[in-house]
Amino acid sequence: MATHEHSHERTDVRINDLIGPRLNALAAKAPIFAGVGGVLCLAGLALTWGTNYFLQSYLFAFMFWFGLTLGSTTWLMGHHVTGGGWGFLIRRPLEAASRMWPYVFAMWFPIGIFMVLSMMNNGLDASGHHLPMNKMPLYEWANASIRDGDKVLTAKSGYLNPLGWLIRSVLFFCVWFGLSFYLNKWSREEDESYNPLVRHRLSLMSAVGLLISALTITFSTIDWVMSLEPHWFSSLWGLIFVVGQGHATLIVMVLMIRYLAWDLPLLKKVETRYFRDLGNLMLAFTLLWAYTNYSQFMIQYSANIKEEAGWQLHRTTFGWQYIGFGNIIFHFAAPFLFLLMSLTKVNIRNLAKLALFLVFARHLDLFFYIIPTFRQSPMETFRSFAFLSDIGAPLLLGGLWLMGWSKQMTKTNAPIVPQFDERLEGFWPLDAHDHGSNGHTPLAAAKGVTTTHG
Amino acid sequence: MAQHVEKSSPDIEFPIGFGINNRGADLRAAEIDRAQRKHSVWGITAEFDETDPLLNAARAARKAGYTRMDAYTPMPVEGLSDAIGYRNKQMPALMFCGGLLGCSLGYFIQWYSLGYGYALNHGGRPYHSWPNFIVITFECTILFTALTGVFGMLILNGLPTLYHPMFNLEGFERHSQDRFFLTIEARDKNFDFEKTLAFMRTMGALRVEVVEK
Amino acid sequence: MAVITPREISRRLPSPVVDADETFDVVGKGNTLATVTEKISDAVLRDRLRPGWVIFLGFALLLLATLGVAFGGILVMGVGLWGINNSVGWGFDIINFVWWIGIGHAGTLISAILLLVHQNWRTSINRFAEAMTIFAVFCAGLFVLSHVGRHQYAYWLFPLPNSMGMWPQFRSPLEWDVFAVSTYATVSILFWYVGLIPDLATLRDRAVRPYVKRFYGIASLGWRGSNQHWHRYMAVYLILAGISTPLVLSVHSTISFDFAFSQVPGWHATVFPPYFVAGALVGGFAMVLILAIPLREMFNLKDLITMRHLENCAKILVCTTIFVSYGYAMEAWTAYYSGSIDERFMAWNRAFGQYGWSYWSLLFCNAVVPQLLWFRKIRTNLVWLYFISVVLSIGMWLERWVIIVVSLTRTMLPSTWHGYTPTGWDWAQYIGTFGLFLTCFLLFCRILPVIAMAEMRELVHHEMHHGAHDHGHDSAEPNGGFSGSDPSVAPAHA
Repeated sequence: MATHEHSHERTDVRINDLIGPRLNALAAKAPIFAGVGGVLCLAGLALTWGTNYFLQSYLFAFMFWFGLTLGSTTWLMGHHVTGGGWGFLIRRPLEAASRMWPYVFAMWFPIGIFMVLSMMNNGLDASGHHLPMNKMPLYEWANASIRDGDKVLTAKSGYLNPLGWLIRSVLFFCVWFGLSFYLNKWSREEDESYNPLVRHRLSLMSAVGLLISALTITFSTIDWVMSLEPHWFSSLWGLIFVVGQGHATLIVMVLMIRYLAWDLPLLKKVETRYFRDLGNLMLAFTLLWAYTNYSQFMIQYSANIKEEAGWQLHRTTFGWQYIGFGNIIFHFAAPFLFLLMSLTKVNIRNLAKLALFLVFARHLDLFFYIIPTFRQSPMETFRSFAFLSDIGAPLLLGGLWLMGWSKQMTKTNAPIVPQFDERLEGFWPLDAHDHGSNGHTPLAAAKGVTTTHG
Repeated sequence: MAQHVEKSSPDIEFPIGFGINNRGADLRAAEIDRAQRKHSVWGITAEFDETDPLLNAARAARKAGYTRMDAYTPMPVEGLSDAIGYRNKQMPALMFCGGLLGCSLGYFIQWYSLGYGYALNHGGRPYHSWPNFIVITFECTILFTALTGVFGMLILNGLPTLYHPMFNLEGFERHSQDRFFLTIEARDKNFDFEKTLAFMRTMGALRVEVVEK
Repeated sequence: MAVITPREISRRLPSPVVDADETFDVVGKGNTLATVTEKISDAVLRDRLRPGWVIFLGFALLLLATLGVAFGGILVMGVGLWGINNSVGWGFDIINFVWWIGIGHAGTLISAILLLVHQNWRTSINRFAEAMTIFAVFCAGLFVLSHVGRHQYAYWLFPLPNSMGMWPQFRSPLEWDVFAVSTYATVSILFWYVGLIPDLATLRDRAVRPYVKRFYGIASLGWRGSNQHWHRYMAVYLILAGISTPLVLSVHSTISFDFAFSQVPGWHATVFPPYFVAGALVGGFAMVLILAIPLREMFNLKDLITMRHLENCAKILVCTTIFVSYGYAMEAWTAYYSGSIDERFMAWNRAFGQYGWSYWSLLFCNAVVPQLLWFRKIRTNLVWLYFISVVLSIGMWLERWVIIVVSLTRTMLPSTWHGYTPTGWDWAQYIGTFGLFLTCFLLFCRILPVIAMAEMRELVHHEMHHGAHDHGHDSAEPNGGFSGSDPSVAPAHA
């Protein structure tokens, strides 16, 4: 996106100097995951041919990696607004993740194409009968024949119609791409020279951007996930996904620091309190996740209204309740206790162990939200060979995403920290007492740990 | 009244002879006087106006083998417990136990009363409808944690104690304003009136004083 | 890109317009341990009675007398005095309960959450914000106490073994409220008192008159700043902050459950818990500003409660008002998306029904007016800030009015539709609680230090030694325990 002609004038450390080889290794390894996932998906597709099982798995995997991209864009803006020290640890990875929008748009295509198909076949088979649930396109409201026979769906067809869905989806991607484009463009500009105007512009756009982000997270997840069961509604939905995506991003970023940079002397010089901040943020999101999900469940469980209770009832019966309990344990109880016990000795390796576990929990959470729509019980997953694509799709998309991400990291090769961001002063401890000439950045001290620089 | 106001102003005058560089007749007289009152000594205290010399003094005293000492400061000073060698992790553990008690009590009372004591069918929900019990259980946990914490802290600190030997010290009222005191208590095994007094005088304190029982 | 000259930058960046004696630092320059102690404690010990304060107190006592009459009337004659009816069973009592308790939440946020996230600017406003919390909870408590109707049975709310063998209905959020609010009141008072102990000791040590000395001596429990005491004290203080954070969330969420658990359109919405919490913070921070702006003038604390504090509160107001606006949007949107006639009618009725004016005023107050705070010139103008805070307080009251009363006037069954008009008794009790709040607050200003001195000393000490390096950002920690930087003491929850 941005170019770096001026790098020779500067005495800073860049991404490739520090972790270039590791990023290349990741870019080389990631396709293996994608390949394994792809094979599993193909096998699943072949074994469940004629049904939409693959698409179900694909949607839930997509929601994770899409959420990671949107979460990264949101965190990035959050950091521009608040300037917290923890943000400098993950700013570059976040920026690289926010540049993934073209890839994520491509990943969205299978879902979009199916929507177009459903516009055409209307949910009827060749002889004019309704297709069974597992053979229909993902969104039942997309079929005019079903919609017309249903009072509630007709009432909201002004919003829930395939064309509107497609237009909105494309619009969302345009907005996200636009946000991340300017976030990255101006961040590159900020790296060029000390210029508080750029900083001011970034902060201001991020403040507005956070609002846009909250609204687009809400409506995109309403469109793509909540409308899977179109009679059901919850006004907390958007926030649940804001929290979920924020959580997912945080844990993946912790993993990235751990696996790409854990043994760098540079990282060891960073004050522990910033890692503790990351730990505290993880704790906060763990609690927020529990809080929002409990609130939504409790309110619908207690009010016991027909439209809402059905959604909850299905997820607390037929064996789905065990997935739900698993969710409580893996997504809340275990991480909560772990974080509470290890808060005083937080380090990145501890956090990463938990984060790896939480990547699994995040998938389980999305699985629990999306899949019961289509399957009577969790056992159906095994009976129908859907488990192949349930495992394959996250691997496929994850492999592709990580490959793209690591390439984005190496391609930009930005300075490892935004050295002209004034707020860095509080964070970067290496030579806090030495603020010399303009060209002398705190990073000069970090040079000792590298052999070459850009 | 005016006198009291003056007393708390920053440029307080100390009696001649209490400083470390003044080794005049006054000092000797005072020392003899103190030696006579040795049996009534509770401890020897040094007064500082900064944290760094306080921390250094505490480290030195610890190195010299003193264990029965305490500092009196106008605010919590980072690293002071380490310097003195005071280790204590009672409070988190105590509060955790309190929380656990509250948690169990809160849940138990709901489980018992709605399941057995006064079982009501509430919209067809199970008698043991645990999602409904979470909030009160949580509130009880918090309540008991807070109560154990605050009262545990007060009791373990021995508060309220309206009398303490340190209050006998002239000028001690500044411990809650802008002065830092380090006291080695007479019950310390290594406490020796003369030696300890001499030791304290090497600490660069504003003044060194004897605290009486 | 060419380096821009500083002059160019200062020309293009928005600059605040403030008086010369105002500062944007956390603490005014030149303060030492002695000066902060002196400034804060002199306001209690040395200050003469100001005529302004006395007049204010007289006014507050007049309002308090109104409360006495209103509350006494309810106790003697019952809630029939109020404007509530069979359809609108919750009126001013619950509106004001939610309004007051929401105000309290900002105090807890400042004293607990900002402590945990190392926002050291909170130090000089946490004491009076916590006081505000406690007095607001008193006021809120009066409303729930009076609305139960048969007051002699109010103790039935607690799980006391009795000869009838009855227990409260623990599945009801109304019962949860009993636990949540009483726990909140208890923990807030404990937290406040624990924070006060070292400061009471300072007052004891600086007091001149013997009876004053004795009073603070007893109140401070003989605190002598012993390191062992501080050690335990800080552990408890931090854990209290840690547990207060989820507590404050739980309290207002539980209050929102009171509504959301029902099926009444306009009450039943899953977004209620976080949206109520955000709304509580809007009302609370507005009240913090309403109190802080005159307080710093009156007691000459401009270099301790600085523009930095006021501006940060304004920034928090921008965030929280956007959050509640999101809540309004989600309520209206979900009414449409639900496809349900009742939900959609509720949304229509709010905007265009009998009380439509209140909905539009609430949107104006809470969603439009606070957007002015995006401009630094307005954020740093005390008149504007004060005015916007008052508007937000009114707006938050209207929000509860719209949710509680307007929803109840038009429920699902048209034959139960009924209007609601508050009576003089309703107004008297509402206005009377201001008397209680003001009286408590004015007495607090005279009797206790309005700023936490021990924490201030720690902050000033830190600024004196490290101030130069941390200037201009909020993430710096004060030197020691209050910021949670001592890992051996306690975990810092977020």
